[in-house]
Parts: sequence; C-alpha cells; structure tokens
Amino acid sequence: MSELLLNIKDLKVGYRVYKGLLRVLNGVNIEIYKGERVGIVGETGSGKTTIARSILRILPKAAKIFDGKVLFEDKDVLTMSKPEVSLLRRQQISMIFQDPTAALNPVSTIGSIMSDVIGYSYTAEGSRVKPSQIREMAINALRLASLPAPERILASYPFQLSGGMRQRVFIAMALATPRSLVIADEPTTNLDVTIQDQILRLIKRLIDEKHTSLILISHSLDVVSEMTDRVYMTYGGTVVEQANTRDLFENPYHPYSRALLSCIPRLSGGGFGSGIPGQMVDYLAAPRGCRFSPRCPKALPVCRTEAPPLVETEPGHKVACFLFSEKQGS
Amino acid sequence: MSLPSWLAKRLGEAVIVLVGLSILLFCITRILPGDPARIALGPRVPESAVEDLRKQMNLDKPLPTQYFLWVKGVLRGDFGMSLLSRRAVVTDIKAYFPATLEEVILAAILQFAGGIGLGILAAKYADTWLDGIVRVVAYLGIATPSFVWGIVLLLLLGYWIPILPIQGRISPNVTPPPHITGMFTVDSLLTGKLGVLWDSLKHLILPALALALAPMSQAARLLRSSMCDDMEADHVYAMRAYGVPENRILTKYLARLAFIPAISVMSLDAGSLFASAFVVESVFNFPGLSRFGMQAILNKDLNSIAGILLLVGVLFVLIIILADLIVAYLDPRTRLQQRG
Repeated sequence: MSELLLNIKDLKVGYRVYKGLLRVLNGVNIEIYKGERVGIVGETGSGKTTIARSILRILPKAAKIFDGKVLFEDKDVLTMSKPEVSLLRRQQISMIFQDPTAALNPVSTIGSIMSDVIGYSYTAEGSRVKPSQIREMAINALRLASLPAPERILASYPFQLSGGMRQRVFIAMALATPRSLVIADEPTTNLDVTIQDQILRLIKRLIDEKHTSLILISHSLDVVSEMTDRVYMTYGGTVVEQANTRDLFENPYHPYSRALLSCIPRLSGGGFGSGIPGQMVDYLAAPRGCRFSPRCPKALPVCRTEAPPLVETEPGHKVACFLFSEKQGS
Repeated sequence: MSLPSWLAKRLGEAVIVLVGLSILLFCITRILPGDPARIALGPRVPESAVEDLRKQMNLDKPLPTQYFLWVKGVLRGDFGMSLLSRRAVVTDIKAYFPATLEEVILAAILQFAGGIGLGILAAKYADTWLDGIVRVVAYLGIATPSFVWGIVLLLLLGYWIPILPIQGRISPNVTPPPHITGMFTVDSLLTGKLGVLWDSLKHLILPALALALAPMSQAARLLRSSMCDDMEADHVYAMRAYGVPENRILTKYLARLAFIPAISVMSLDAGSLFASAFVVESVFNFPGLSRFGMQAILNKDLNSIAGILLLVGVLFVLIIILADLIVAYLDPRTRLQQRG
C-alpha cells in the first residue's frame, strides 16, 4: 500500500441536544491511503456524515469533539489554526454534498458560487487569479463534468437546473482545482435512480483521471461495491468491520455485516432477506459494550459490558467482535 | 415574467387599491357627524349663507355625484378648498408635507441602517453577551409605543441632558433656508448653509429616532432570526467546506438570503412611519402634515382630510411596490421561476 494520506484516530464526537448528550462517534479509526477509493457504509444515523464533517471541521454548532485525531498528512485537522484549516479546505480536501439543492445557495448564480470556490483556492497561494481565468477554469470544470453549455450554466441559478445537473455542478466544483482527497457524502441519494449511475461513473472517471483519493459515504452496498477498493462498515458510530471491498462482500465476519449483506434481494432465488430485528442505537443511552449487541443474534455476555477490540482476522481484514477475538485465543 | 410586464401588473393592482382607498376615504369623510359647512362658518352665520356654501361644495348633490366630482378634481390635482384655512388643500399640503417627509425619510434611514446593522451584529455574535444586549434593546423597542419613546427622548436629551432642542423644525434665531423643496435639510444643503442644516438636523433627530426605534428593533430581530436559521443551512456549510471566509459567507450569501423575508416587513413598517408620525409630531410640536391633519379632522375639514389620507395612501403603495422590486432583485426565484 502506498503513502498514508488521512488517518482518523479514535474519533469521539457527540451532539448536545435538549435532552442531553448524543454520543455518536465512539472511537472511530479510519485510514485512507493516497490514490485509494474507500467506502464508508452504514445505515442512516450511523454517524457517516459526522465522520465526513469532522474531516473538514464543518460540524454543526451543537456538535462536540471529545477525543481523537484527524491526521491529514500527519497534521491534526482538529487542532490546526484557522488559516491552516482554510488552506486545507481550499487546496487539499473537497466535499460533494448529499443534497445539491440544499448545498447551493438558492439566490446566487452557479457562476458566482464557483468563482468564489475557485478564486479562494488560488488566493491562498498568494497569487491573484484574474476573473477571466477563474471563469475559464469554471467552464472547463463544468465541461469535464459533462455539462452541456457551461456558459449558460454559470449564469443560471440552482433552481433553474435539474437535480442531476446540480450534482454535476457540485462535482465540477469539487474537482475544479487539484485535490488530494474528495469526500462524497451520499452523492446520489437525492437523485433519480436513472441518474445515479451516471453520476457515480462521472465521479469515478474524474477521480481516476486526477489521481485523487476518494471517500465514498453511502448506505447502498451496491454503490460501494462498485466504486471502492476498501470498505469500512459502520454501526452506531463505530467501525465494526473493515476489509478490501471484495473480501468484505464475499466473506463478511461481523454479525452486522452478515445480516446486512443477507438483506440484499437476489434475483436468483431466496427472495428478500429477513432483515435485522431491533432498532438503531439510541445515542442518549448507547449500550456500554458492543453497540450492536442488543440486536446481535450471537451476542455473548461480554458483548454487553465491554467494547470489542478490532482484530485482524486476515491481512487487511479487521473485525470488532468478540466472536473472533476469542478464536484468536484471548 | 419580464420586469416591465411585472411592473405594469403591480402598478395596475396599485391603481385598483387606490380607487378602493379613495371610495373608502370619501365615505368616511361624509359619514363623520356634523355639518362641515356649518362648522366652517360658525354658529352665528344665517342659514342661507350655510346653504350657499353647501351648494358651492356640492354637498347638496347625491353621494355618487359628489364622489365623481371630487375624483375629477383630484385627477386634475385639485383637492378642493380647505374649510379651515380657506386655501387650496394642495397649497396647505405643499406647506406642511416637506417637514413630515424629511422626518420620515430620516426615520427610515435610521430604521434600515440600525436594523440591518444590529441584526447582522446579533447574528454574527449569536448567543453572546452582545447578542443579548441587542435582543433586550429590541424587545424594549418593539414593546414601547413611539409617543412614549418621544417623551422619554425629550426628557433625556432635551431636559435632563439638554443637548437637543425640544420642539419645532428650526431654532427661532435661525433664518429658514430659501424655499426650494421645502425640506429644510435639503434646501440648506443646496444653498450651502451648513449652519442651518445642522440646526434643522438637530430638530429632526429626536422625532425621527422616536419614530424609528420600534421598526428598527423589529428589523433587527427579524434579520437576526432568519440569519441564524440560515447559518445552519447546508449551503453555508458547503461554502465553509470550500474555505470561503466567514465574513464573505455572512455578507454575500447569508445577508442576501435573510433580507428577502425581512425586507417586506421592513418596508411595511417604513410605510407605517407616516401613521406613527401623527402622534410623534404632536409630542414634539413639530409643524408637519400630521399636525395639520389632526386639526382638519377635529374641524371636519373634508377636503383636507381626504387629501392628506390619499397622499399617505399613495406613498404607502409606492413603498410596497419598491419593496417588491427589491425582493425581486434579491430573489431570482420570484423573478425567473416559471410556473407549471
């Protein structure tokens, strides 16, 4: 494996709400290597977006980071000075949002939004870029994102474009200037099914062309299996299993991964899976031990009292489950 | 819809509103108790003279005829004679209106500048002590009627700390500037008499402030809350994620969005300044239109009442149209969105 780009270490993030404190991320560890495409999978509310937003330090006001590090090229994003974070956001990491309609200011033209995004990514270097050059770069980026008539799109307001076009605009923005990491947070969830595939292929093509690393956040196992090299399976704010995409899909260890994968309806017999009984973690009163233990069919007594450590079952394949740490002779 | 056709439509609507207003005004002035001709002439004049005046004023004709005769006059710019001053109503309005206009304009400037400034400040420093102060002041501003502010300001800055004059438009020892627009501030500025300008501004500031405090507070609260709502919006986080500086997000993306709902309310409030001016001018003994209007109402001076109220109505409608134009400029969705 090549050089380590991003290293999230033991990240713990919560949200203050009226009823108390939601302890969402409970010690998340993620590594992203240069040029790698990594998927983060989990159901709605499993803390995927919180992970993404922590990387860029754009968590909502109510969020609180308790512990952990987000090391980008060995520098902790969470303790960076404001200018350093600005530089990181302008030149290193960009993000594609879940809902392009909500993520584009409704009363600004695409051109005016893009010129800010591109313009600031260069002013950080101290060199001023002429508006005409910025415009040129915006047009090029839109063209690369397969958008017809880029000049007209620059003059348009977001509501004048279709959902798919808005997401293409966002992808163009994310890759208009060189980046070492792109975070795509459920980039196709809010789009028509017919558009989803095109958008994913576009992201994949641009990422490959520009040798950028990708974090793809999704609840869709399908999307992740097609798009990524490696996968982190999350449940209730913890990483339960991580492996090469193919390994994880062919040979899942964690009971949650197994249950989830068996839920995929197959065309060749079997019908629909049985689903997973129980409910998502209540973060106000999260289980003390393994967060999946209340729903786990194979839970042991120890699962309810202690958090399972991450153990390597095969090279590169790690599982956080006592079922496997015992096999390893603990 | 293109801008000209949109504007034409709004102006058409405005005409309908004004026709309705004129009918309403006309009815109200005629329904008020008392015989205007008798009040105008006094109790000692013989009945025959009163009868003559009634004929002269068309009061003997049926109401619809009276209305059309009145409208015919209004369209020619003739609002009839004032029964009180025995001058053309237009002449009286010309004499009194500039004072009120400069008072209201200054109040509107204070309202917008103060409201927008305080609103943005409170939003930027939301949930800090600064925000707390702005919120308390804004509550006080809204909850206190303008005439109470007038009296408080008079006591505070005119009596206890006497740094500002307490009544009138200009000091007795200062010669008013030559009549150009009738607004002392503008006229003195045009003729280069800065001393006179300063003196008339000192007279204006307290009434204008008393007028402006309530709508200013309202504007600040509205802006603060809509900006705070938008601050947690996805598109703001998106701009932040791309390293756009906070101040630029605030001034370019947030303020514009927050102005859209606030601007309509702010301009309605600005229109209402003319109404509040009626009371505030009495407190400050300010020789403006509303003091004149008050006397007209007490004396059942039909033509003056109708003339003044129609003028205020027209101004109100114009302000609303202007507000709609500003909103259309700020919000492309109202301008460009195609229905269907």
